[in-house]
Amino acid sequence: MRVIDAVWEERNLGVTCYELELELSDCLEPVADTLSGLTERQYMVAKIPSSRYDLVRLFQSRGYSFIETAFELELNFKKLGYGPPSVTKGLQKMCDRCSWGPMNNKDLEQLSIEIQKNMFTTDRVFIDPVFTKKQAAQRYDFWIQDLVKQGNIPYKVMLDGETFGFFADKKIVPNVYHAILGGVYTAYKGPGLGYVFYYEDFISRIERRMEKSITSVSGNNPGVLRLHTSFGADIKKMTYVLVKHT
Amino acid sequence: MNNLEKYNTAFMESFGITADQLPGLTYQGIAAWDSVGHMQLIAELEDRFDIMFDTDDIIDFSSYEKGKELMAKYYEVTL
Repeated sequence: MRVIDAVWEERNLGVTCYELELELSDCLEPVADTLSGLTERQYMVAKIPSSRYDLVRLFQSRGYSFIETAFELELNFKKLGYGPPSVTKGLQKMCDRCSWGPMNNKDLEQLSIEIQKNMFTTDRVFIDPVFTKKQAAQRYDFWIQDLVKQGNIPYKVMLDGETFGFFADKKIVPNVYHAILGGVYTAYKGPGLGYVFYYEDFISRIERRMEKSITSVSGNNPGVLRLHTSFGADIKKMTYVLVKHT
Repeated sequence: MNNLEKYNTAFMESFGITADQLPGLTYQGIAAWDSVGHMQLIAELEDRFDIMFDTDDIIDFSSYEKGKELMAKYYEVTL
């Protein structure tokens, strides 16, 4: 088990935090001993491999509550033949009206406004009654700011030139990226646009010559999970996330 | 099969639901009608009626009843 001092959550959420990352190979007793000797922080987050129900029970017995299952997904573009799934002519016409491109400063300002409107509503912070919706949005806003400072410019997705969503990623190794965040702006969350948004995101990854793209999706968001798998994403790992507030 | 039966079948096969669930059905009103399900429904309707939806109509297609209205108004399909 790795005990991570999540100092960034002091800025993001205003609380001290430990993240506890469990491994498949962790033995129950040493984990229990480590937990007993740990001075808890205000916000404790435990990430447990899905097959380790013994560990889940241990954490539950120490006051932790289940909050989400995190799915790690991988798109392997080589396996997928560097192409998106085929769609009908009508849908193709819709997808053809979309485009993507890097965000400029004005786009980033708009993105910050959109994030403050709580465009993300299924993550473990948003659904946690201890946190406010403002805190949940602020956390994403800081993530984007950090990414930009590190030189990872988010991309916008447009329909007829009008931006309706964004995505942001980070290079892990050449041609392999971690898709960190993305979504459709609140005003566009109607039928159809989620699919074409993802289609355009997928196309951009091929055009940027990616071999693989890795991302994490909350099980609290089954629609997005289904979207990823419908484009050929493989589930690589499932992690139970439990939290405790002290 | 008349047009209404074809329309209803497209919904029932796309979402795995029964006829009694159709009236009042809205986008995201059931788990199966999400963004992927929406595209499956649109593809089913395009195939069954040999039509091609305009982008704006794909976005406007927000309920079982709204779909009927669009089909009649823009695609000359009387249901």
